[in-house]
Amino acid sequence: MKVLIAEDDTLTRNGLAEVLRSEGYTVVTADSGYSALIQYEAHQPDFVCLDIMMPQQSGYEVCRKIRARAPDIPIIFISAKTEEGDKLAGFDLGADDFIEKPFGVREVIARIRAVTRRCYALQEAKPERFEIADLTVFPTQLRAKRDETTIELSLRDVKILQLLSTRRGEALDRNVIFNYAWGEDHFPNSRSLDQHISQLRKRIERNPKEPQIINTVHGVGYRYE
Amino acid sequence: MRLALNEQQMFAQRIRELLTVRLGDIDRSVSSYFENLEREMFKQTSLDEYDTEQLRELIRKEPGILQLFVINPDHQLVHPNLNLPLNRTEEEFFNQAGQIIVDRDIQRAAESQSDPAPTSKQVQSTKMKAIKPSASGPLPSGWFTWYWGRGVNLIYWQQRPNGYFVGVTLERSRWMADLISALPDTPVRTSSESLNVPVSRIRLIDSKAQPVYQWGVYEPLEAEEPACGISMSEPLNAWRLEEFVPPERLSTGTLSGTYFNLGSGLIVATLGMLAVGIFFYREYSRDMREAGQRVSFVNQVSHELRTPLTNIRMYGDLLEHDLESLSETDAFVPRERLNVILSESQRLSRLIDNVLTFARQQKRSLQLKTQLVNVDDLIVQIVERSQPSLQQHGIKTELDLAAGQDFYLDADKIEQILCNLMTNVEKYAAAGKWMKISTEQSGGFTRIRVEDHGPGINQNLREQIFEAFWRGSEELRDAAGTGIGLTIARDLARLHFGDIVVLPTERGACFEVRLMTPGV
Repeated sequence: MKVLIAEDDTLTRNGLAEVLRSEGYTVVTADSGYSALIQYEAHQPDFVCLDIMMPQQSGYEVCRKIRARAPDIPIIFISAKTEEGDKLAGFDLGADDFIEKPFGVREVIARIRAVTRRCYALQEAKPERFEIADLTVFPTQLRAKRDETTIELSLRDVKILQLLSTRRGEALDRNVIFNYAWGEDHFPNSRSLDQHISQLRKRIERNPKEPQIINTVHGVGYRYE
Repeated sequence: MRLALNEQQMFAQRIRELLTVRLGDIDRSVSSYFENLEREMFKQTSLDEYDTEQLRELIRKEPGILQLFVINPDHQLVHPNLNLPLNRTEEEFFNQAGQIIVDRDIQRAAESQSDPAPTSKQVQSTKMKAIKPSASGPLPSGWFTWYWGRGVNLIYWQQRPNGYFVGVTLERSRWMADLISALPDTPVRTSSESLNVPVSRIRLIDSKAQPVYQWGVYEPLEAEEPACGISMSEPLNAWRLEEFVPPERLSTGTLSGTYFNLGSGLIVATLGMLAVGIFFYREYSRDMREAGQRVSFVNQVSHELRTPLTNIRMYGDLLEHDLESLSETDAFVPRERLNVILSESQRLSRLIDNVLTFARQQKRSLQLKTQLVNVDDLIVQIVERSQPSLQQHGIKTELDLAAGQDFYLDADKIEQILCNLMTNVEKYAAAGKWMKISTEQSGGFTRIRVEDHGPGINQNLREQIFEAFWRGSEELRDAAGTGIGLTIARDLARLHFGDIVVLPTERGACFEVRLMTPGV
């Protein structure tokens, strides 16, 4: 899933890009309103994160122009302008959400996941669910369920679980999993993959120290029995 | 016909005389200002000795004094002391005014008590005045007026009983502002009822014939001659005061009569009321504009602060995520430090919110955004988020939550109220090491109590503490903060048709937040 982040502050832009990439999104960035429109045309993202106060063209202006081309695309405003009027102007233009600065990473992730669910709802022909061990995974909802417990998942988590589930019993090489979940434009990094699997186990395994879903295959990678 | 013409000329002459009297009054008020200034300068510069540092300190303290100089009885410059390094203003002064001193103009002026004629082309004005009687008679003093830079400059000098001359260059912008405020802003007293005419224009004209200041509702034509004019008294004796009146004022003497005077009186009254109306409207508009600008400024500053704050928080969160891959032992100290960064960034964020809320409250633009809220659940979340900071202050938190029912409330504003109260516990009652938050619903209100075991609040101060910027004892004054936390908390509670009150307790302090929730 591709996201366009338009934000003129370099640190905020890079930080947000890192957060979204770690969640499994493909990220395109722009540092001005004008550049945002060019990037939008070039990459046709699935949704857009817009700062309001940007050089050349404001986020409102960019939103209006993108909406004219794609009426359904989810758009999130991320701004330090937190007056009621600012938010109303954003929602009047059809914004799907408004994230106020300063924000925490968890808040951004939660809101981005909510928008992603809406994106999936707009698309068709997606598998509704799959089973992996005692978990039921709902890919389009970025959630899994065990008994009555709901577990929040990232886009990347879903991809990893999908791969392991469809190739059940196979020892999957680290590079294969990495390329599938991160994309081939990322240089394979076993440390990043191991860290991610470790975090994922904490959330989905009953006992992360004795995993039942994602098993380590020493010297190779991981396997779902 | 000739009789009528003579009568008209006499009337015009009479008006001119009366206008001249009026200008004389204005000149006297200006003179009076300079006489007061002379007395003030005499007092300021009555020093036992002329130490360079002491004189520099005097100049620093007195905004009306641009520079000061002292000449000894042997006519040598004592200050500014040319044997010491000069500061910028001393150097500038010496370059500009040095000739007056070098040419001994002051000495000659003092010696010319018996012959007041100016002795130098530099000296525009000198006079002798008995500032302070002494055994040997009045002390010589006077003014120098000359031009440099942007306009006229004034030096006031006096000879002291010890033979020293002390001179003061006045700060031009200061004396000009004082002079203008000393001028009457409405027509001055009139000697005759028939001259009660505000329709005129009075101009203060400098020696280069340029208007320095003017007032009055009448707009004269470009080449119009003044109805009357006078030269001003010293030290501005090169300046003039001129008054312009509509030409018909000088020619309607025989035609005016009772009806004209009555009509002009009505016009004057109407214009006066209109002027008062315009004045109040402009004052009101200015207040509104300034209030708007203040809020806009606060918004702008808050916006500028939020972006770096976003980066601090976001990169802190990312670092926290990175630490998860380290072993518990390796991550322990960095995580402790990171928690400080994150909790401080949250504190800064709350402070910005407080300042914004306060500004909006001043503008009366605070609004509630209600949603169905379970106060108990909300409090658990808020306390959880505040735990790092509370733990850092060694405060143990106890919860006794029994509100139960959900109500339409503004969750963000309740969080702001509680955060402000908890911040106060951290600031003023951390020594008690304990805080309890309890809730209940009774009497149509949801009640949230925040208790601590700190020093408590004096019964007499239970209302004062809610005033903006109020700080109690010296001990409390030392605590950091904006002094608006409780004011905001109360304002927000009152937005919920509730209040915050201090309840009597055996130990520490107990604040009760009441939020109107009818039906409980």
